[in-house]
Amino acid sequence: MERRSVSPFPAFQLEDADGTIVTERDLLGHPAVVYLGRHPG
Amino acid sequence: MTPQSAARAADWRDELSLSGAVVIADPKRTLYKALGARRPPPLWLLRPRVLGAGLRALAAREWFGWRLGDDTLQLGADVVVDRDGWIAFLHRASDAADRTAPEELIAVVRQLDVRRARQTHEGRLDEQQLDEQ
Repeated sequence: MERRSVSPFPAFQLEDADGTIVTERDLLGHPAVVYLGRHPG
Repeated sequence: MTPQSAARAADWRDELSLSGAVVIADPKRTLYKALGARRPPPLWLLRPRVLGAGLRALAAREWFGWRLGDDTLQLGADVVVDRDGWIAFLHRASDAADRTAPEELIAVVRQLDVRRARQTHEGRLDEQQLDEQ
C-alpha cells in the first residue's frame, strides 16, 4: 500500500493564486490535506 | 495545487468559489515531481475507467477548463500532512479517474487528531506521575 509514508513533506516555495509566496512551513501546526490537481487544477 | 500559472489558479479558485482554500500554482511541477506524481503517455485517455469518468463529468455538465498550452498528461496526488509536516497519507493517481474519496481523507485527518489527543493525554499522565514522585 503506497498510502503511508514516513517522509517529511518536500520543501517548496511557490506562489498562491494571489501571488503570495507559500512554503512547506505554512503546512505546520495542523493536519493539512494537500490535493495535487491534475489538469486543469 | 495546480500545475498551472498563478493567474490560472486564481481563475480556477474563483470559478469554483474556493475562497477558503489556499490554491497554489506549481507550473514547473516541482512538488509533483518531488512527490512522484505520475505523468503517463498520451494513450491513458483510452482507459475505460478514464473514459467512463469523462463521460460522467460531461453528463454532469462539468467543464474541463482546458486551454491551449495546458499540460493534459500530468496526474494528481492526494496527501495528508500531519501538524509536524510529515506525510501521513500519500496516494499517487494511476489515471485521471483515480482519486481518493474525500471521506477517506477526512478519516485520515481524524485519526491524526485521535492519535494526537492520546499522546497529549499520555504526556499529561507522565507529568502527573513525575509530580507525584
